[in-house]
Amino acid sequence: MSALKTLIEDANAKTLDIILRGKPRLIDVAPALNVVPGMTPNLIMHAGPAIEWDRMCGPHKNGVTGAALWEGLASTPEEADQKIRSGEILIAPCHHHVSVGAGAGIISASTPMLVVENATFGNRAYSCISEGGGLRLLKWGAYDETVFKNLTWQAKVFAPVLSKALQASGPIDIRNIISRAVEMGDECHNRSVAATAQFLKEMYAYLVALDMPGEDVKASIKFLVESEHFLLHAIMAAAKAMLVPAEGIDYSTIVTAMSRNGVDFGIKVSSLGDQWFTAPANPVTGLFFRAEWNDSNAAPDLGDSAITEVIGLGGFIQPAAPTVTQYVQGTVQQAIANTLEMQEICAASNPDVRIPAMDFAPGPIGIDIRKVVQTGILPLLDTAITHKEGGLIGAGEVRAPMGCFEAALKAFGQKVAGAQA
Amino acid sequence: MTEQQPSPLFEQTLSVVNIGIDLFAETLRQQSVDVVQVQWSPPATQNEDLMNLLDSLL
Repeated sequence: MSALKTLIEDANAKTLDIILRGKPRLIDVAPALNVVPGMTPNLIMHAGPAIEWDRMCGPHKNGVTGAALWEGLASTPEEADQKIRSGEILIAPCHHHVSVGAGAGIISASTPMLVVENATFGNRAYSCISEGGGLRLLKWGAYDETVFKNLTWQAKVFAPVLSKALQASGPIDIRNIISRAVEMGDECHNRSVAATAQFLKEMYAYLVALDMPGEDVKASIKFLVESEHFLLHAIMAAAKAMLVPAEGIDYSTIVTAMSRNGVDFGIKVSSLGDQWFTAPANPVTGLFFRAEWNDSNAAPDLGDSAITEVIGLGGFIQPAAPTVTQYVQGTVQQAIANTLEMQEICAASNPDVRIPAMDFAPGPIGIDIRKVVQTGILPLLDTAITHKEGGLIGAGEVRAPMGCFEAALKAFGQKVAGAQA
Repeated sequence: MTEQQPSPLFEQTLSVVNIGIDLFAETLRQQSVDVVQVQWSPPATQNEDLMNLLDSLL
């Protein structure tokens, strides 16, 4: 093996070691302004790589506008548009602030954020809290008075209740919850009901013992019970917390972020700094929740939730969640074939994530851009389908586009050629 | 109009080598046809520069 290949293999092994040693723990819920690095009262964050206001897809534009109205930064959509254009309201990707957001990923100063700390390395990452179930939520790029009322209740009532409960319970080990949830039928992206149930099991005793208004506590417990995807957001923050220490490792060809804004699909690679490598986002294939919806209504792939696939969850372990295959009229056999395919582009396997339907084989983890370009096998993501004008309309799966991997590989080649010259 | 004779291929036991997508092999196996599956996929990229780069990196 050449000296360069050895350097790459060693760097990739180091990258995977850092990711796999991560111990993400949920420690708090707090307003974004109080905890997110670089957050300001006039900043609104979104999912995906950076994108100009005029290029944003419908769900992103609606989500940013809705957040501006909810925060009182603007009183009409037109005023929000004008203030965004003038720079009075700022927009930026969640990822640029160590944060992740599902769907359009809309985060503003008052948004309650799940705070996850990687106990191994001491770093923290953040995710907006789940707004609960429903087709019309800010994260799907939909807003109205009902959405605003729920956001305000979450900020003023639910988040303080959960924060107090977390102070009483101490840190919640998200890695352990992921391991058990995968044994219980979650792939931790399109299905996180088992993870959420475990979280509630850990929190319940502390919630009912809180010295807070009983109605607030009851309403908070009811919300958690009814929000079967609640823990997905903590899993996303956990993934980000595991991946940040693995950034910046020279010669590493391992992907440290994948994200989409409904226009561009972007990846980051450990040795290539903060640069996003982008290509057009693909359409999502899947099940539409109502007969009136079809492919023509759908926005292209969007959301920061692809961070779960970066740590080998979601589409990488589909056979762990047979129910999810129904979204694509799939079979467990096809899901197993998909995981075997993902193994071909990954550098390692994760002993903490074992797939029952594959005789408890460890799931693949650590996407190597070299292998993606060599094999032509593209990362498979489980994901939601969003209406191009906002609102959740379905769920399914999508492939990452090849262009971003080819662009990253070219940049990597230029960088190492320079280093070796 | 001449009547076409059936191909001799269909008058003997089939021995199949399937190259690439294994769904075809599996379908034949389900019909009790012996199949040898060869894992193969077309080269992912036709970009010669990327192919050369991969040679030096992987």
